[in-house]
Amino acid sequence: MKVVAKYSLVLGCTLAAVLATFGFVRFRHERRELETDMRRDHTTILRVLQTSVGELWLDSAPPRATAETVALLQRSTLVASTSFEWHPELQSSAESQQVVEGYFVSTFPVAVHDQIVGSIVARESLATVDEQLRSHAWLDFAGIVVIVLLCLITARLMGGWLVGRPVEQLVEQARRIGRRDLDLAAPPPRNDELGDLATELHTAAQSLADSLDQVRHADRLATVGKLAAGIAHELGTPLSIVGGHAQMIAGSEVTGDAALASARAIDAEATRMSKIVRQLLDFARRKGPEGSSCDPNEVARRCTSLLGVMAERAHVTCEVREAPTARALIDEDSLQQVVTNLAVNAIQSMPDGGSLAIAISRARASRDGVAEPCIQIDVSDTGTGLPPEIEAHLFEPFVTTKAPGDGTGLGLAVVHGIVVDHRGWITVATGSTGTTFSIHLQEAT
Amino acid sequence: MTQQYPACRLDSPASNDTPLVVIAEDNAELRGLLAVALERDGFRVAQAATGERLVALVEELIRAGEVLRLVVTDVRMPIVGGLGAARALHQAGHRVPLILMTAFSDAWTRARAAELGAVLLDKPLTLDTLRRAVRRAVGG
Repeated sequence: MKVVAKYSLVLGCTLAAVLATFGFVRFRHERRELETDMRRDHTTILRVLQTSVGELWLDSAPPRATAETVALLQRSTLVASTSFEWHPELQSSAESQQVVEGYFVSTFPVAVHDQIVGSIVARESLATVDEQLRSHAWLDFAGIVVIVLLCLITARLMGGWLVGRPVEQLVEQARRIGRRDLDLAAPPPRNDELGDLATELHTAAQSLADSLDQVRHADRLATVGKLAAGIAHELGTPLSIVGGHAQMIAGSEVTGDAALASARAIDAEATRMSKIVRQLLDFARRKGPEGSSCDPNEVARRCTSLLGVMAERAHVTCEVREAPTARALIDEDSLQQVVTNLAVNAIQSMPDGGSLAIAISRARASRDGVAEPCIQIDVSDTGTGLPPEIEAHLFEPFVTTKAPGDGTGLGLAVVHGIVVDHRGWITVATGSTGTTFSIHLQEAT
Repeated sequence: MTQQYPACRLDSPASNDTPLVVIAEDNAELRGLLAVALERDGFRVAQAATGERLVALVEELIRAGEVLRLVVTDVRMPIVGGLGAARALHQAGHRVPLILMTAFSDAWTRARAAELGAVLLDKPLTLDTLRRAVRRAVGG
């Protein structure tokens, strides 16, 4: 959970910096305080000693005064942890207190009758103070480290629980939406921004599912509309011909052989119309029995044997490449219809001969950009390829490369419908050296 | 691959005062039937199987000094349809009475037909309907 890690790191560093700064400031403060304490202590004692020594010198003459001063100072030294020394050579009238080489040194002059007779120097070791400060500092440091570590651990754990896992779930949901798997469960209620996000994502998925349904519905309606238009056009002309000839016969405009010719024309058109109606019925009633499966290799073999004569006459060689244990999730009749349709188209696209190949394989193929495992059946020809303007509308009803009157243009629409009904998909690859229609179907387990 | 369309032909070699009609229709059977019917009604018939051939034929006939009394054309033909051909003729300045045949007369087609001042006939059509429309277009 990278966001949480970053957050934890920043939090940790900030905490460490803040605590360290506080610690440092307190350290300095403590040091100064201790110094101030020492200063005060020294001042207090030295004032007293100043007075005492001053009195000694008032009472006695120098040699004796010096000895008594030294004795007094020695006595004082014994009492405190500070040493007091008498320095007659220090004649400065200024009082000074400073740190010299690890000692706090206070120098207080003694004046008698306005004359400096010497200075009392108090020296106190800073060693213990330093020791105290150092142990405080280490404690502080240890404290900082522990606090920071605790914060980091807590942040990682809580982050993972509060943010990491929910976000991963959201990412997975978004991925499913991307795969158009829109059947998302409602998210568990949460009282924060992640909960809001989950709810919005769920709503978006539902709205997308609705839109997709609408698009599919509109698509079906459009197809039905096109179908109706196509039917009207396909049947309109043959009916006009039938009506025309019939009228001429009935009105005795044609007699004898001419009437016979008219009657034959009527017959031919009627046959053609029947064929159209039959194909339309096929298109309408496309659903095969649910859950049935078949052996695509067997279907391919039967197809090539059925079309053998037609292929021979067209100088087309047939070849089947099998995938022995493959079974496709589609009923045999439907697959037969599909493969035969494509094979006939293939043969018809090679008027000067060529080769037809039906290849069956287990594959991973792309359905709208997502790779899926499938049973793949390729029907390939070595014709001249499909014209580009046809390619986009290939599976629409009544789109055909054949001349008018030669085929109804419904074949590929039926094929497409059958494949989609069995939750498969079709792709086409075409070029100047031939065309391959690839049918992708679910593998039957 | 595309099928070769039969070349158009001027059917009746009758005299020049027999009115001349051009029929354009991609279905050969229907085209032939309509031609026979109109010839029986006393017209000379020239046939075209596609929109481009229709335009070319009309120009040929006019250049040859013929007077075209009527053009009867299917709307849906491969590549250039009846509407396209009619517009081309209009733009070239040829004003010939026009009858359009269509299997699918939606509002759009009706509007285009009205623009061109053409009569629109629905398929399937009966010979009677066609013959009446022809007489009205030529006679009037």
